[in-house]
This record gives sequence, structure tokens and C-alpha cells, in this order.
Amino acid sequence: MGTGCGIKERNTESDCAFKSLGGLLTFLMLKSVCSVAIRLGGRKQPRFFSNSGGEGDSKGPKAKEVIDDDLLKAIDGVANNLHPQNSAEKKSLKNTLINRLVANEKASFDSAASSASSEMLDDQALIGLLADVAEDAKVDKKVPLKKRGLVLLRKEIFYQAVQSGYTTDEARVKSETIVNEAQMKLVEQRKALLNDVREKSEQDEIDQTERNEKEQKLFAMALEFMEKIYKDDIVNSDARKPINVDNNAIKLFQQKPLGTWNKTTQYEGFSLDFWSQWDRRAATIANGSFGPTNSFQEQIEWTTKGKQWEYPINNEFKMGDEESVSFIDHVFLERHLPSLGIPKTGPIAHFMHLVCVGLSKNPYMTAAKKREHLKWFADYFNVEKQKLVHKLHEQEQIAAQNAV
Amino acid sequence: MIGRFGLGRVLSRSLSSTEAAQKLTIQPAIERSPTDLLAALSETVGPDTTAPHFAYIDDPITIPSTQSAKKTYFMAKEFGKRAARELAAEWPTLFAFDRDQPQLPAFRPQHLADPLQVEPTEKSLLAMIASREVQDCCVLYERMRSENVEVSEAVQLELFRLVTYYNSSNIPFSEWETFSGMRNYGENEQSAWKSGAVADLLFETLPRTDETVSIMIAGLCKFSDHASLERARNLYKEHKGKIHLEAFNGLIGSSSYSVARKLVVEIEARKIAPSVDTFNALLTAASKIPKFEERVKAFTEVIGEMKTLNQEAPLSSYHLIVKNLIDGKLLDKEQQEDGAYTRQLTLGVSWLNEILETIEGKPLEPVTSTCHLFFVEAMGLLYRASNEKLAKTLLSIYESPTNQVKMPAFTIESMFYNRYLQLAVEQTTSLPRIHDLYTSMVPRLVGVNNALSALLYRKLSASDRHWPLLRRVIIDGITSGQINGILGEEMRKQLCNVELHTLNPTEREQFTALVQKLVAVWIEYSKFTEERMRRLQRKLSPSQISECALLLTRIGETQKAYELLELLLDEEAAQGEEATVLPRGFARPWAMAELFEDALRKRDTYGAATCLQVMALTSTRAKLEPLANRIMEKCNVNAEQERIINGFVRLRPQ
Repeated sequence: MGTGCGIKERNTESDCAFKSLGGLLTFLMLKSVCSVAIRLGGRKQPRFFSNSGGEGDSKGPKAKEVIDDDLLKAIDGVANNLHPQNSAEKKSLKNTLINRLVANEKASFDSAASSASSEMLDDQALIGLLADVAEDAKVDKKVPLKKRGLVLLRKEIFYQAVQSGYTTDEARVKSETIVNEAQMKLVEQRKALLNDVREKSEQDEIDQTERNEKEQKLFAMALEFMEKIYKDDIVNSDARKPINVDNNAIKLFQQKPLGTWNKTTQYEGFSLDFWSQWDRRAATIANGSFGPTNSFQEQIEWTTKGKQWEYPINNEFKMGDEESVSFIDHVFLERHLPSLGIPKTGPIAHFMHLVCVGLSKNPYMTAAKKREHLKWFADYFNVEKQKLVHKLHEQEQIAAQNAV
Repeated sequence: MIGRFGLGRVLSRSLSSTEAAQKLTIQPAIERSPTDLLAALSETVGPDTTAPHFAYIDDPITIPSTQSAKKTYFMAKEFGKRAARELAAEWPTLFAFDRDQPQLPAFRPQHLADPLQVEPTEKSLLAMIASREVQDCCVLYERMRSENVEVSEAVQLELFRLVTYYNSSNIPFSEWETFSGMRNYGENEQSAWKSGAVADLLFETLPRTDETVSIMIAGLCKFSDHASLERARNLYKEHKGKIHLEAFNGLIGSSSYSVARKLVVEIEARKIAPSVDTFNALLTAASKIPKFEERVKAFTEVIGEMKTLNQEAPLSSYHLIVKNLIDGKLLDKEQQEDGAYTRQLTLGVSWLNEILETIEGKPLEPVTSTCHLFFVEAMGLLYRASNEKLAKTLLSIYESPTNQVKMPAFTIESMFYNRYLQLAVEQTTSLPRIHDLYTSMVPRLVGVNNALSALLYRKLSASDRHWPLLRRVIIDGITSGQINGILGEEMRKQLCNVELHTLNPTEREQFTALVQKLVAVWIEYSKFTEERMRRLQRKLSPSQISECALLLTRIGETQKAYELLELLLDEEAAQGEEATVLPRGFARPWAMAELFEDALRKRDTYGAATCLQVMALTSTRAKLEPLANRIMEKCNVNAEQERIINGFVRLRPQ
């Protein structure tokens, strides 16, 4: 981690353990300060490093309150690693580390607080304003605590800059500008995410080339920390405070009416019927959305438009004129024969019986057509033909008898 | 039938023999329409909530996930259908090979009669009026006049009704019955009254009756501009007879509230019963009142009047109230600091609560064509007020089987669900709930959009990890083309933050597949170097390369990772027309640090040296020296390699 070098330079007289774990500690320290600061937001004494001090509390803050649990565990780990056997040395090392950390926190805050006093003043003004409107107290307290994280970050960047070879003055300016830029960048990123801005990356790349390498590294680091500092802010920024129903608000349905129409008077409709019908038609069409939402609705649509066989399935669907014709007319055809003058007995009667049976079994012919067929046969078997057939039939019978 | 009667006889005989007093009668069969059975089945089955909308059930690869893709797909299908029908109508002989028995006219579309070719008779004109071909009617009528064909007064009145209702123009897209895509996506310009058109001509030709004057006034107010309103008011003043309600409604809706009140007094004086349109017109007039308190009073008066007359307010009335309650200027974000916005919003929420209590459980029918807008407007207000509880109630009312008012699915309904989803996601911290909500709505009801994805990424970074949700959001992002924008960066960031050891074996496989897919797509996009494909090209940035390399290393594809990293060291990859890498930017230090550590752990001299070389692009000698020393400590470096590494580091700037 790049941040480790900064700590090493800062604490030249510190012991070697502290040096080697500088990177880890710096990261954890910053994280812990932020998290402690935020966690303490709701407590009675949120300002541990404040110059004004607590109410009659002359003692300094306890180490556990300032340093995060993670950090304390890390310290334990370091002490165990370096002095696994000797408990006295382990304890003294732990104390040294904790004292250094607490002192460092205080020094960081004190030195940085002066440079950021104008910002802090702004915050105070803001807090005053917000207190007037009695907003949620949590929100108010988070503002200066978040600033503390920024102040520490600025300090860290300052040391990093010194480490990278800048002079102290330059480093101070750099730390200010880089942190501000990183803050703006973070705001931009958030906005980009919110406002759906695309293709920002190319512009970012151009921006990056404008900075030199050293600055870029410091900037990247600042941005990374900034994201960590504002991480919890993301959660809060999303969840707006709900506006609820006000039971004391003016009611919509319980107010004085216009008073134009009288409930007891009889009124009559005097409407342009076509106009209201067409309005209703438009309303129905507008309610049609994007057509069917399942296959049954699709089939309903097809049925309505006449594209599909109607349910329940009926083989006689849309038969046309035949719909009203009974099957009796189709099947019982012999009853027409007497009226057509066909003899009741003899070969013609036998033949016509066969014709009727044949026609009664034909499903492709209309009843009228069948009757037409019968009529045609009746016309064909006129009186002359009947006589001829009769004569031929008799000759046949005689021939048959002779043959025997 | 015979069988049934026979059975009836048998039953009644047997019963009469045993119990003369009791007669069994068989109920006649209930008459069912041809669609009743289908409607019952449809109601039971409902839409499939696990599939895309019915219009998109096709090859899974074509399922659209964004709003624009949905529109494109739907319109493509519809235009294809329209083109086919046009062809069938234009050249019916080409489609004459039809042997269906009975012949169904629905499959034989008829081309519309050409008004310049058709016989100029009243019959032709009436047929055109019935088919609502307004402009064709106008052309035919003018042709008949020029050819001195007499048109009876009754037919002229029919035509006058049509042309006035539609302002001598073809019917708007919103009234297209067959093609729902055009109905919902087509946009008509807000047309003003066509002066001097067939409607005006017919009005002058026809005798001035109560009906013609009322139709004219209603038409002038429906397609209003300053001149037409003036004309309508003059007609109203000049006419001595009894004006129809529609004309009054038009005049009320286009007047100020004070004038509107005078007009309703006149309606009452003529003993005319008001309709819901009259009250909607009054609410429209009330919405023009600039002062909030007076507007509130006017709205309550109108609703109170409806209540007095036992008139059920349609959803369109509530839509007018919800839409116009809050001052327009306060909706602008800069103005919201003022307490007035919160005050008005609170009243809006309270009224909406009352409205929802009133309509809950009642059967809701579309009364006017704007009824469905109530739901989206109400959801908009609840989103502003971030009141999830009421939003949920609104949603349940909309989805209840008693509600027949439906919003167009891919436009307004999508907006409605999107607002609800964003509100619900915003208000909850539970990622499993977000996952359930998201998967139930996206992309079926809500199209994937950048704002929603960004919101989900923010939620994902702020809370504990939830791999199924992250995976789903990324996959949706891929299908909706988000991988190259700022959301693509977000995807890499989120994937880098995934702690692999917390995933189960299946999830790890999913992670691996996802990373492989994403990296493959990014690389493919970077390789569109040909002239015709260059507009699609998205070059790989150094930060992207470092992140992709890190992800590949995590899934065990080390070789691929180093192939990518080598692109950073290859100067030619960033130059010339064939360049696939952006010449600007830097590799991410944290990603390189992890890659370097990984190489050391594996004692991979080549990998560590590559990382060192990449890091050397942005680091100084002082930084590189300890890294070089670590390579020598951890890896099996021979003397020559050691010399090369030392020499390389020494040559870096201080």
C-alpha cells in the first residue's frame, strides 16, 4: 500500500513495528476515525478532539473510544508477532502504539482543524440554520464528523505529497486542491450515476492526463478514501423521508359543494348522443393497451374478428343457407316420389329407391339440389318412358320364363 | 334436443306418479356467447408473470429488455403485419389460393374505396362515414358537390358530425383499433381548429338547429385555439335555442373557473342534468386557478357537487385533481426549499389517501379516455412524497381483478411500475426484498434503465453483498447495452468487490462465466477497428485493462490476464488505426498491487515482472525498488534475471 510510506516518514523515531505496519494502520486509522466519528454521532460527547472540551470532564478520551476495535485487534496482532514470548515487552509495545495513535489523532485533528476553520464555521452556520427548522438531529451531527474525515484525508495527502518529493508549501497546496478535486469528482460521479450520464470515462481519461503522474496517484488515493468516507452517505441519500397523510389536512370529500344543482329538482339529459358514444368508444379503445396478454385473449380477439371457429366447436358453423335445413329433408327423400309421379311398384320404383338412398347419404349436396335430382329423374321417367320401361320389363320377364 | 325432451318426459312422468305435488323442471341451457368460455379460461389463467409480455413470447434471444428495444420490436412486428395486409388488399389475386370453407371475410381484406374513383353516391359516402375515413369522406363530398350530385340533409348531418368530431382530419392514432403499436406510440400534433374546412362548409350549408350549433361549439372547443374559442363563445351568445350539454362542457373546460361557474348556473337554469364530462370540464377550469388555496377550494366544491348528485367520480376526475393540485413552479427542484412544496405535497398525499379509500374494492371501469392516467399520476405524487405504504395500496388497487382500467403496457404502465420499483428500492435496505421486487418487475413490466441500475448499484455498494441481485443487474445491463458507459465501470467495480470465498460453488461458476463473458465483450468491442465498424468501437482503457486482468486472475485465467496486461506495455496497441487501447489513463494501483501480490504468491517471476513493468509506467524508482527486492526474495530469480530487474528499476526516474 502506498499509504504506508507516509506513516513511515512521519514517525521516524517510532519503533520498527510501527514502521512496518504503517500502511495498514494508516488505512485502518482513517477508516476507524470515520467510523468512530459516525458511530459517536448519537452519543453525548461526540467531540473527542474538540478544543472546547467536555462539560467538566478534564480527562482525555479513552483509547478504546478513539481507536476502532479493528485497529486495537491489529495492534494486538502486531504485539503478538513481534514479542510472542515476552508479555512485558508486548504490553509496553501495545501501550506505545496506542499512545502514538491517540496522540497522532489529536495532532492530526488539531493541526488540520486550523486550516479548515473556515469550513467548520460554515458548518456551524449550517447547523444553526438546520436546528431552526428542527430537522433530524442525526443529519446535523454527521456534517462536521464527515468534515473531520476530510481534514484527516487532507493531512494524509499532505504527507504523501511530501513523501513524493514536493516541498512543504507545495504539498500543502496540493493536499488542498487534490482533496477538493477528488470531492468534486465524487460528486460528479454520483451525479453521473443519478442522471444517467454516459460516456464520461473518455473525459476522465483526458482529465487524468492533464495531471502529472505523482499528482494522479495522490488524486486516485484521495478519491478512494473519499468514497469510503461518503459510503454511508450513499445509503442515506437514497432514502428520503416519507411524507405521510396529515389527518388535519382539508378533506377532499367532506367539503361544501358548489351548490348549483339541487338534489330535489328533476333534471333531464340533453346530450348529443353520438358525441358521448364516440367518447366512450375512444375510452374503450384507449383501454386496449398493447393487445392480448395471453393466448386465450388472443383467441377472443380472433373470434371477435371472425378469424377463428367459435366455441363450443360446431361442425355446422357458418353453413350458410343449409343452417336452417333439417336433416329430415336430407335423408327422407322417398316421400317426394309420389308427388313426382313415380310409380309405386316396378323397376322404376326400385331404381328410384336406390337413387333416394344414394342421395340421402351424400353430405356434399344441399337438400334443394337433391330434390332437383329427383325432379330430373321424374322428368326423365315420363309417361312414355314408363310405358317403355314397363314393356321392356315384361319382355325381360317373358324371356326369362322361356329360358327356364 | 330430442333426447333432452324425452328425458324430461320420462322424469316428469315418473315423478308425477310418485309425488304429484313436486315437479322437476330442467333449466334451459344458459346462453353463452362464443367468447365466454375463452374469457373464463383467460380470467383463470391470467398473464404469465414468469415470461415476458405475450407480445414478445418468441425466440428467447429476441426478448427485449429496454423500453426502446420493446418499442422497436413491437413496431417491427406491427409494421410487418400492416405491410402484409396492404399487399393482400392491393393484389388479392396473389393470395387467391384459398380453399377454406366457409370463406371468412376477415382473411380477405378489402382495399378502401378510393374517393376519386368510387361512384359519387350517398351510399358510398355513408359507407365511408361508417368506416370513419374522415379525409376520404371530405374528398368524396367535395367531388359530389363539384359534380352537382345532390346530398340529402340527413347525410350532410352525418358527415358534419364526423368532420366536426375529428376536425376534418383522419382519426387520431389514439383511436386506431387494430394496430395497438401505432395507437400507443403514434403521436398526433395538438391540432387547432381547421378553419374553412368541410366542417365549416357544412355548418354554413346546414340549417342552424340546436344540434348543429351545439356540435359546432363542441368541435371548436375540442380543437381550441384563441380564434376558435372566440367563435364558439360568439355562437353561444348568438344562438337563441337550447344548447346541448357537450357544447357547454367544451365552453366550461376552456374558460376560467369564474366563467365556468356562470355557465353551470345556466345549465342548471335549463334543467339539464350534468354528466361526468361536465364535472371534468369544471375541474379543468378549476386547475387554471393560480392560487393554491383557491384551487383547493374549487376542487373540493366540484367533488362535493358530484357527491350531492350521487354522481360517482370517474378516475379521470381524480387524475385532474392529482395532476393540478401542486403548483407547477414548485415541482421544479430549485424551488423546493420552500415549505410550500411540502405543505402542498402533504395535502396531495392526504387527498390521495381519501381517494384510494373510496375506490378500493369497487369495480373500476374506463369512463373517459384519460382514466388510466390517474394511476401513473398518483404514483408520481407518491414517489415525490416517498410514501411507499400508499404506493403499495395504489398498486394493489391497480392489480385487483375488479379494476378494468388498464394503462398501455410498454409506455405508461411501465412508467408506473418503474416509479413504484424505484421508490420501493429506495426505501428498503433489505437486498433480498430488492432482489424479489426487481426480478418480478424487470424487464417484464419495467424496462432496464440506467437510473434504476445506478440506484441498484448504489444499494449494492452500500449494503452487504447479494450475489444473485448483482448478477441479475449486470446481466440485464449487458442485454441493455450498459457495458460501455459509466455503468460498465460500475460493473467492474462491483465485481472486483465480490468476495469470492463468500460464494458457494454454483455462484462461483456463475461469477466465472460472467467475468468471462464481460471481458470477451469488452475485448470484442475494442477490436472493431475496421472502417465500417469503427463507430461501434470502444477502446480498452488502461484502468479497464487492469481491472479485467484482476478479475481474470481471480477466476484462474492468469494467462489471459497477462495477455491483457501486455497490451499496456505494447506501444503499438495504442497507436494507429488498428489501436485497441486508449493512449490516455493509468492502470489502477490497487488492482496492480493485488496482481503483483498474486504473482509473488505463486512465485511467478514472469507475472511479477510484468506487473512491475506496468507499475513502472506510473511509479518512481523509490517505489519500485522495494517491489523489485520482493520479486528477488519470493521468486526463483537467477543472476541474469536479477541483473535485468535491477537495471530496469535503476533506469526509472527518481
